[in-house]
This record gives sequence, C-alpha cells and structure tokens, in this order.
Amino acid sequence: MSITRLLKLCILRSFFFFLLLVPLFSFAEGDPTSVIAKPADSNRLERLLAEAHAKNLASDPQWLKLLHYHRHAGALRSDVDGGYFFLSPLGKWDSRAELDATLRAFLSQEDLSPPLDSGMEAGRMHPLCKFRARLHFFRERLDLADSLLPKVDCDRYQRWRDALDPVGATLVFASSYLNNPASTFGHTFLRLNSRGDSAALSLLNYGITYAATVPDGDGLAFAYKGIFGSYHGTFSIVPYSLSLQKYSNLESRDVWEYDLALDSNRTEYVVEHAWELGAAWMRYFFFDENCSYNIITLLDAADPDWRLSESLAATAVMPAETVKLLERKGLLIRSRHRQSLLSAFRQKAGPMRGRSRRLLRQFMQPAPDLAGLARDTAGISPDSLSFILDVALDYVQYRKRRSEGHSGKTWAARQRELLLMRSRLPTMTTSKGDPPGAGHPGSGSPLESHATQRIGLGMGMAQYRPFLDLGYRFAYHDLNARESGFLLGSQIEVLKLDMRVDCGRDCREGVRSVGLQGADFLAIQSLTPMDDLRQPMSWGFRIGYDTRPTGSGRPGRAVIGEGGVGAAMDWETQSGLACLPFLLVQSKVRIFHAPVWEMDAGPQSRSGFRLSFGRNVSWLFENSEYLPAPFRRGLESDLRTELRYSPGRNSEVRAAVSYLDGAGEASMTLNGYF
Amino acid sequence: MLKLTLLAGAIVMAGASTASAKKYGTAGCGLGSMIFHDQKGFIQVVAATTNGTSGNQTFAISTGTLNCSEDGLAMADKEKEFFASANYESLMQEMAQGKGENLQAMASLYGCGTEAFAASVKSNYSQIFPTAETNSSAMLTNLDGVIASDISLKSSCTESN
Repeated sequence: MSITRLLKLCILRSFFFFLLLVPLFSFAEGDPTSVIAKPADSNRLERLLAEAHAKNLASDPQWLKLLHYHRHAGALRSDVDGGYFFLSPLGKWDSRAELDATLRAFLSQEDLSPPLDSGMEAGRMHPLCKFRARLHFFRERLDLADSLLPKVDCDRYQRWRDALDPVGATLVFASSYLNNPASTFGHTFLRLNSRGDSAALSLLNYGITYAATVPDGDGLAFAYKGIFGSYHGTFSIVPYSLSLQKYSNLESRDVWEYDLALDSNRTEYVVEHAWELGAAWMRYFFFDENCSYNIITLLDAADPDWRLSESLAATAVMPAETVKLLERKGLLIRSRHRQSLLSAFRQKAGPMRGRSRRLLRQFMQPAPDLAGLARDTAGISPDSLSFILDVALDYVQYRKRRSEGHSGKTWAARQRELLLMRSRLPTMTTSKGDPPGAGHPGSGSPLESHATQRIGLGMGMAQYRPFLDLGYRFAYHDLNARESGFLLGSQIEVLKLDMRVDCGRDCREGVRSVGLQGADFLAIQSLTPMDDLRQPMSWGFRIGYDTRPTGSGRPGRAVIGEGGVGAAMDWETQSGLACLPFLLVQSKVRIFHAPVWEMDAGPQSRSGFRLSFGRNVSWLFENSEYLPAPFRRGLESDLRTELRYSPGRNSEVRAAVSYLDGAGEASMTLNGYF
Repeated sequence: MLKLTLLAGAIVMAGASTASAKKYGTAGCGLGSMIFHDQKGFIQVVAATTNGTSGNQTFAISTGTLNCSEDGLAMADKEKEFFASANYESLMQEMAQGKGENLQAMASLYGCGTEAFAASVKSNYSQIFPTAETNSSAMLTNLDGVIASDISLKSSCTESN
C-alpha cells in the first residue's frame, strides 16, 4: 500500500471516528464551553497585556524563537506556514498580535481551538493545553498565577509528557546515504531521554524528527520540489529503536549520538515546544530549511541566548555542520558511535585470517558445505566459534533483510541454523566491537569532517601558457579530499564551477580570456570495496560541463552526462597506508557546438586508484577512455593525477597534472572549506 | 542500481509479510507493516522523503489515538508488541547470542533482570523460535510460556506473565 493510500485511509477512518465522537466533544478535555466568561476576566486580561507590553515581550528573543521568527529577505516572519500554530490571523508576521491573541486565548473560558478537520489535530484542545512552551514562557516572564487561568484539565498533554518523562536530550546524526538523494548529506534528529531508561536502555526512548511529507510517484519532480519548498515539513515522534533499525540495519549508515548539555528547564521547553509544533507545518527546503535546521530552531526555543539559528550558514544547512555548531557552543557533553550492521561486520571480519576466515566464508554461504564445515570446526574452541558465528550472523541478517521470495527463504533457513548453533554456544564476555577510534579513518565522526562549501585559487600552465583558476563548489566532498567523517570512496559534488583566466604568453602582459573552464552540476560516486567475503557494486554518474583542447576535430566545450557501474577494492596496512583501486564501465553522452549543435555518445571506461597516507595526504590517479559514436574521431584518452595535502581540516593544497588527449596541463591549487 | 532494486524488493516483501497484521490485536499493532510501507515508498521512489522518515500519521505528535499509539507514543500495554515487531531481526539474533541492547530493552519491558532473562531465553531458544517462519507475535507468546515455566526467572521479574 502506498503512503498516499494509507493517508487517505487514515483520514477517512478518522472522519468516521469523528462522526461517532461528535456528541462526546462537549465533554472533551479543556472544553468548558458551558462556562460564561466573567466580567472580571477582561480586567485580568487588560492587566496582563499591559504588563506584557511594558516588558516588550513581543520582541523578546525567546518569544520570537517560540514563534520561529527569522529574517527572510530582510523581514522578520515565522517559518511556520500552516496547520494549527497561530492564534492570530496575523501571527506569521506580527509577533505582538500573536502575543495578544495567545494571552487572550489562555484566559478565555471558551476553547478557541480550530475545528477538528482543519489539520492533523484529532480532538480539540484548549490553547493552554496546546501551547505549553508559550505558557512556560509567560509563567517565567509575567505575574501569571494559576488562579488567573481558567481551570482546564490538560490530561492528554500530561499523559504524553509523563510517558516521555524527559531528563535530557541527545542529538543523533545518521551519516550520509548515497542511495537516497534526500539523505545524501546525512540526517539529524533529537532523542528525548526518559528518566526510566538509562543509557543502556536508550532504545526505548523516542526521537523528535523533522521531515517532509512526500507523496508517492513524485519521481523526478522530487528534486525540484524538495529544493524549492513544495513539500510540507512536520515534526513527528518516532521510537528510537525504529530509527536505528532503519538507519543502522536497513540503510547501513553509522550513527553518532551526542548528549546535549540541557538542564531540566530547557529540556522541558524542548518537549513542550515539540508538542506545540505537533500540528504545524512549514515549507520544506532541502538545502536550508531542512531537518537539521528545524532541530536547531527547536533547540533555539529552549534558550535564545545560544543564538543557534543565527550562527548557521545562510546558503545551506548541512547536518554535520549543525553538530559542529553545537560543539562550538559547548552543548555536546558525551558522544557515542553506533556502527551499522554492515560496518560492524566489516570491522570484525577485516582482520580475520586462516581457518577463521575460511569458516566465516562457509557460514556466509546461503547453503552450507557440511563436510567442509565439520572439518573446519573440529577442535575449535567454543569462544572462537561463537565469535566467528557472530560475525557471520551480522552478514546473514544483512542479506536476509535484502532478499525476497525464494532467496529470502533460503537466507531465513540459513539464519535459523546458525542461530540455533549459536544459542548452544557460550555468551561472549568481551564487549561486541566498537572500540573508540577503531575502523577506517574515513569512518570518523562528523565533527572531524571538512566543511561543506569550497573555494579555490589555482595557477598553472596549459600547453606552455600560464593560467589562473578560480573555483567554487557548493557541496560536499570529493574522492581525493580528506576522508575523515565521510564514507570512504564516496563523492558527492553539487554545483562545482571553475573559472579560468587565460593569460596568453605572460600574465603580466594582460588577460587573453576569462571563461568557464568546467562545471559539475551533480557528480556522485560510490566506490564500495569488494573482497573474498562480499562483492558489492560500485557506481557513479556525473552531469557537467567540460572544456577540452580542440584539435583533430574534437569538440572544445561540451555538456556531459555519464554514468555506470564497476568494482573497487581496498588494501590497508597497519601503518596507515591505504589503496583503493577502482574500475567503472560507463555510458557517456556529450552535446557540443562545433560548428553546429551536435551530439555523440558511447562507452567509457574510468579506472584509477586513490592512495592515502594517513588522512592528510592522498594521491588520486585516474584514466578515462571514451569511444564516441560515430566512431570516426577515435578513442579519447584522458589521464589525470592529483596529489593532495591538508595542513588542517578545512584547508588543502592540490597539485595536479593531466593529459587530455595528449595535451598536457599542470596546476597547483589552494582550497579552503567553509 | 541493482542494489537498490534488491533492497526495494526486500522491503516490498517485508511489507507483504506483515500486511496481514494490519488489524492489530494479538498479532501486534500493525506498526511493523506501517514502518515497512513507509520504507517501501521510501526506497522505491528513491525520492520519497526529504531527509528521514516521511510524515506518517502513526508518529505525528498530536494526532490523538491511532492504531496502538497515542499522540505518537506506543500505548503502555502495546509496548512489548511494538518493540518486538519493530526490532524482531535484532532480537532474534541477540537472543541466540545471549546479550545485546535489544535484548536488554526487552528484558526491561518484561520487568526482568537482564542476565536471568538472557540466560533463560538463550537456553530455550528453539522453543521461542520453533521455525524459520516464527513471527514476532508468535515469539512473544512462546516467550510468555518460557517465562511462566522458568521459576527462577519469574521470581526476578516484577511483572509476571
């Protein structure tokens, strides 16, 4: 069943539910409609309004944050676009109108909640029960005794809050997931930590997450709509164990948890404000008003003095950058790395050799070789066998989750055999994997990653003519960059522009031309190493613009689309030397103007390797061979080699030499990330 | 792209196998099916959600009562069913291994001491998971039986089943 159908069903169901309940609503919580407003109420209200105005609460930073007011093109207005959030029709633009309306609603005996069918809200609620953080704020700022407020029973909120029983919160970062464009830069959400559930029982906690609601079948329009705000984003509350199942086990993403330095008052604000936002929606903007942005604004409401949203970059809010922001503000106190099922398997299987590895390989087969198994398990200690089985079980679970039909049944049967065998072996006493700092250098914490945007200044020689290069890249990471905090072998480049100043013979004699040398609109690569245990596929594609030396009738400037699949491997030594060779077989299409609009297409091979020495130095060597049809132009061979050195996290020097169809070019570039 | 298709397939299947449990009762909350429906859309369209889970009524913060959740939180008496169905694969493995976070959480939901619970579950593994087709609700029924018959474990649990 699709999500949209599911939603329709839910709406339909709740509609009938509503019809049944209509007569009951006059008795529903916080709905004292039968009480007539007393004249004294208006005096109280006037007094409170006067006090609020005298204290200028309408421009109080926390009030503005509670309403999600931010500057948009110079004007202050709320990010919230709809649902049940504003009590004044002017609430989105006028913080004072909303302040007055909120106080009025709070003191009103009449329930001002909107009718049931206006949003996600099922069941009416008195504003006092709905706007808990605003009430908290007024209680702190105004002389607001409970006796002033109407007697309203906020049973529903109280049950919710008591079930959560929050004592703190943890920021959770799920690393990037190349197989879903929506998650390419990672994801962050907030976990509410309950009093009853200690750190060891954190699986029983709930997470507050912000996400867009995307109907089925939006396919290609998705990117456009996601970037330009066509989707509605809402906050929701998801069991933490479920989020982990999705990120760690289904999508193989490592997860980092950062406990936040929130005292009980701020924690209460976060919970209250999440409740307030429950029925609100905002237009979702993939690059700036996204999940991470809204987790930051949720925290901002708890303490405006942190000035979190003000410290975010204006162009794009990257999940990893928001983690760094919280670290800079001193709000992270403890961290924990949770390996995905697959990376735990890889880390444990990696160093296994000899008989252990042979056994592991046999356990990993869907159908076992019983004779070989009996031979290899003979005389092995129960502890060693347990360890090997545990590693194999991670893999079998991973495979089973991805298999269907007959193959699914085979894996399920295999898994059961292994599990029965495992249940008869001893429990391992050593802790299961995940020592701090272990794993590939590329699997470092997001705090170690370089920033998102990049500018570069380069100079070099092309065919004995000097040039200057100016480069800008909007996001995010390329194959030869410092890999800490990124997936090894991954590359996501969005909007990369390289301008070239061509000097003629000598730059001092003046500039001959300035032009766009190259551009990548989107270039993604996912090089996943294979070994004797697993053979995952590598893939990559690119949409961009290239300039090549003209001659022998070849096109000079062309728009390129290329993509394909292949394989990669990974060798590492103890001393930190790692080599990642790869080969991709691609199809390429090229559109160019020479001298009329033309197009060619054909197969292309891309091969090379990346050699890294620790995380600060790496060397990339790449070769591509393109055979465009019609074939009269022959094979186009490109060679490129690039050495990178990173003195710091956000700076690097790259020296490159390339031969495009034999035309040589050498350059030296300084890059800064910000 | 093959990987994607396979993954989508797996999740389609997961959705299909849990779809029968949609009308909750003893069979669980149907949350399992909702989760995987979510996943299916998520992968199939590749583009289904923008960063994270797509909006799903089950997890909305103030939708009121839906299936076995209230305002997004699993109802207390459904918590075990929910946890078992959402984390079934992990539980299956950790119960055989005799340790793990999911197992610990499950012991806590039963109000039992982790070690006694883990030991009992491990030694009665084939009884709790009699076939490769055992699903989460059958597992819970079998688990209740194991706990009831294990006197030493039962005494360590605050909540008797």
